[in-house]
Amino acid sequence: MSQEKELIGHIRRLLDESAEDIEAATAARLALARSRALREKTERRIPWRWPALGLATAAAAILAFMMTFRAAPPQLTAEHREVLEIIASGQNLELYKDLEFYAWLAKNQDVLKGG
Amino acid sequence: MEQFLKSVERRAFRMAEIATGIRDDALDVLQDAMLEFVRAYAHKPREQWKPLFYRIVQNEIRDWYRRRKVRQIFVSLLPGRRQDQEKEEEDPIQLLSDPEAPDPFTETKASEAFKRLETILRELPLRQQQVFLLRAWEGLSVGETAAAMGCTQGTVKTHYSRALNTLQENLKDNWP
Repeated sequence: MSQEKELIGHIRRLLDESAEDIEAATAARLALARSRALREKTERRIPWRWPALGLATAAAAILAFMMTFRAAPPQLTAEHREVLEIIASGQNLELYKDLEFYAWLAKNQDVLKGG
Repeated sequence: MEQFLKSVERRAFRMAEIATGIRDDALDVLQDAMLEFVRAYAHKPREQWKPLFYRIVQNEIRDWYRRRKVRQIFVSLLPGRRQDQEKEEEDPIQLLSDPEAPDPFTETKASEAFKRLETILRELPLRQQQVFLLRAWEGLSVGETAAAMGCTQGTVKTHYSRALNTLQENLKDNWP
């Protein structure tokens, strides 16, 4: 038991040091995030469900497009179904921003290969 | 509220960084968690803040994993990607250079012992890793950790015990 306590104490010290030694740029970004959170405390949140639903539909369409126009369309695996469920749940607006990038990438593959 | 956030932000950031392995993503996780926490829970009694804050951090980390999974599927569907499937899927977003990455000099300053610990923690299953950090580092009780992780107290005890065993096994030659 005392060996376990010693180990945990050792781990805590290392982790504490790592938290203290955070680079100045990262610490500044954390401070910025904190002040932004405190500033926006009273602001009303923009309802996200409707834009998210629209984006979810667009993302599902992109996924369907990408699967349809592949040289050899793959089977819909359990993993694909899970992804469709995540998209359809419309829980995370951030996700759809990423999907726009992938849609752009899919469209510009040939251009990128040439460049 | 500001004092509370100041008191937890660095540890929460490190936890997110250990979970994601990507500094910028960890910062995003923390930023979103702070915003959500202040909006939703600022009115709650102060003694509830810590488990509530970490509950949000855990939700953000879980969302990050889900987003990554969706990205990987999309990347696997890109034309010409099928042939490379034996290799681990590369995420084009992650291939972009990080303009704020720490320079090699800063990197070498990080202690070898911490790097070893960080590697072992990153190899733990996510829930074991986060339960261990919340219990052993942040000092949350079993009940608070269960609330933060959204699981039972029994599950917390199991995850904690497994994580501790792995750390004992892997760190036995690396600590005094």
